Amino acid sequence: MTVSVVGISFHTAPVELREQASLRSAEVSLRLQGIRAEFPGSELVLVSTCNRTELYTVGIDMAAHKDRLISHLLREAANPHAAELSRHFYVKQDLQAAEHLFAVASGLDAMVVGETEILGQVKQALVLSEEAQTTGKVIHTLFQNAFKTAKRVHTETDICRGRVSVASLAVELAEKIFDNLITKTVMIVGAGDTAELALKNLIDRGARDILVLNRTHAHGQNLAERCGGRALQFDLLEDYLSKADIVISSTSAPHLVIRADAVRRSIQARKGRPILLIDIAVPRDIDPEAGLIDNVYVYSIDDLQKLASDNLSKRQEAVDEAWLIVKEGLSGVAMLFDGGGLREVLRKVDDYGRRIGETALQRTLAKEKMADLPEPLREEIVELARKIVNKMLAEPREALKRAARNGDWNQYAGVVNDLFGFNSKEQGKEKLNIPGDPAGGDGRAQKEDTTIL
Amino acid sequence: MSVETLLSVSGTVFYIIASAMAVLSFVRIDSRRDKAGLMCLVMGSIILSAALALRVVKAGGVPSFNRFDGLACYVLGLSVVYLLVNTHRSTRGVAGLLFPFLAFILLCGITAQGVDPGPLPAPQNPWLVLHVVVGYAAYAVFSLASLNAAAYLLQDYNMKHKHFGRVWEKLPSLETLDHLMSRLVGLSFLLLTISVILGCALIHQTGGSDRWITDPKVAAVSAVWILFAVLVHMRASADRHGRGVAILTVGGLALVLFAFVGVHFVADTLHAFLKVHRGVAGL
Repeated sequence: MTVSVVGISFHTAPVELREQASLRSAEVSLRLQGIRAEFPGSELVLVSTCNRTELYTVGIDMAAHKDRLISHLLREAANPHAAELSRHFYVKQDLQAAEHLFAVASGLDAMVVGETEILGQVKQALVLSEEAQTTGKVIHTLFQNAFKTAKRVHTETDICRGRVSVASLAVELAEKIFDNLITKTVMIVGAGDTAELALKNLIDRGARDILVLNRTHAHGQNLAERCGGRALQFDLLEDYLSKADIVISSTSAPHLVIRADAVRRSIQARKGRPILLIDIAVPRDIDPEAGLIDNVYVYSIDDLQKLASDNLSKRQEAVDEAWLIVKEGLSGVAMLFDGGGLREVLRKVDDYGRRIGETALQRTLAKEKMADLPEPLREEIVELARKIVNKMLAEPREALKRAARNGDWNQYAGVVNDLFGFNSKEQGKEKLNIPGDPAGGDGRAQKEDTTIL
Repeated sequence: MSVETLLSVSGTVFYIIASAMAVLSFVRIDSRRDKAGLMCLVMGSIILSAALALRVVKAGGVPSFNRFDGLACYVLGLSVVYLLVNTHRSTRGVAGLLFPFLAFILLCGITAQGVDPGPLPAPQNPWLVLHVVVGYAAYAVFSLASLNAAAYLLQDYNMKHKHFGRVWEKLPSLETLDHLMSRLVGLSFLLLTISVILGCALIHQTGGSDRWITDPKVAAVSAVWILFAVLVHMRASADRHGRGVAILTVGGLALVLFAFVGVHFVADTLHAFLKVHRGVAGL
């Protein structure tokens, strides 16, 4: 079975090209069924997100059908430019394809390394493909192993620890102060884009009570309507400060909007309950002196950027560790692949040994002086040859299994193929090359249908 | 070396391993190590319980405690309360403070007591046992509240000074810690009140004496009870939260440890009826 992936991602194409191949959930099933109709017996999963569109296939010769598959993936409007667009598509096969899937699912191939949303999207892609009945045993096993590996990467490394965008960091900070956000009041001062994004993140985490204050009341009302909050007059800011647990300020005022005295009064009214003040305005809206008051936590845009940068560094540090887990995970699927799979290579090694033994035995037993050899002795010689071959191949077999377990499979498979000349033999249509054999030394020994060993 | 001593030492070793794992989790976050640390704590608790149970069986009832027994009971109480709290709400970051504290207490117990647990004194009056056990439970619950308060102050420091490291990442939210402090202080106040009432009943049962009023141990426990009452009032009636309450709760641990152990070193107390062999314990 050949496992392949053909796709386009942010690595290879800008968004204006990626969107030509981006598919909605409803379209995915139709595309999959279209491809399946053209390639009966194939197994297919189509992953389509804002950053990538990838088709994972089993049983399709990618070298021969790449362009057909790309044409299936592209929107109809883009099809006339398929040839040009196809330059931005990549193709990976067998272990490289599996490695790519594992990296994608683990967030190693994401735009922001360690992103976890992609795992859910890949899972969803498998579900859609199952519903479209285009999956099979091989692709199912491959994806399940990818999910298992991604889970290990997420839990055993720091790859997805900490948020990395300024807007989402408001949530991270809020969750280190408050138990849950459902009962908390969020106050938005000003209606900047980043503040709105931060608010959306807080709402996603459960925040329900939203207060919006803006100098232009209509703008505040507009935002309040969009997020299901209440718009208040700007001059009520100090009155409501003690009611807010989280304040995000992003006005364009050239002076301080929230003074330390006002914060001190509000914290007294709150009886020591903590308050989180996030200031994403430049120049700053919140008096930095407020940060010196007990139970008040003030963060400026620089603090958030530092936290984002720290989190990203932690993620980068974990990348090598995550790749090791991916390599280990790959060993679990190595046997799925043609030519490079453990089972396949072991079979070739066994065949190689058996053929050497059989050829040598046939040649020896065919000699005239061996003609009168009694049958028990003949069987003894055959058994001896079998044991020698098995003994010689036992250690290489174990080394190959170890390599597969340790994630060194690619390297070992290549070495074995070179050492035993499997690649050249396949190209030469199974011509047997027995080292040291005068008859077959030129690599042209005949393959005989024998079953002596 | 007796079997009880062997068990006590083994239990302590498990606590030391658990504390090493909990501290390491501040260096590098690993959920498997957290689980292993928790398992070590459970194993240590089981082994310590077995050691204490063996002494009870050998004595034919609950004997008066030697120093190690007393501290082991306190550690067990703290461990059980922590495990119960942890099943309800994840506070694994607190383990980095709690486990080393527990291991330290056990090591103090072993050092003070030596390896020989000593002769087994006669079993105690069941009401006295209840008085002591409930008192220990009150100390254990309050100690956990204090360690939560210490974690609160640590997290507050991290948040204030923008130290977004592993400790910050590992510790629970300030509100979680504040909430736990509040609940645990309330529970410890209730338990200590029950223990004090039982103590008064025991004095009355044995004929009563004015000497108890002036006993240093009684005075220390009274101070602890007042502290608990103040903290409960701050929480329940005055609705106070945050750093100030956390500082008071951490400070309270010193008073609790003094009333629990320290008082025996600085004054003669009528509670010395629990004094046995080379060690003292008791309320």
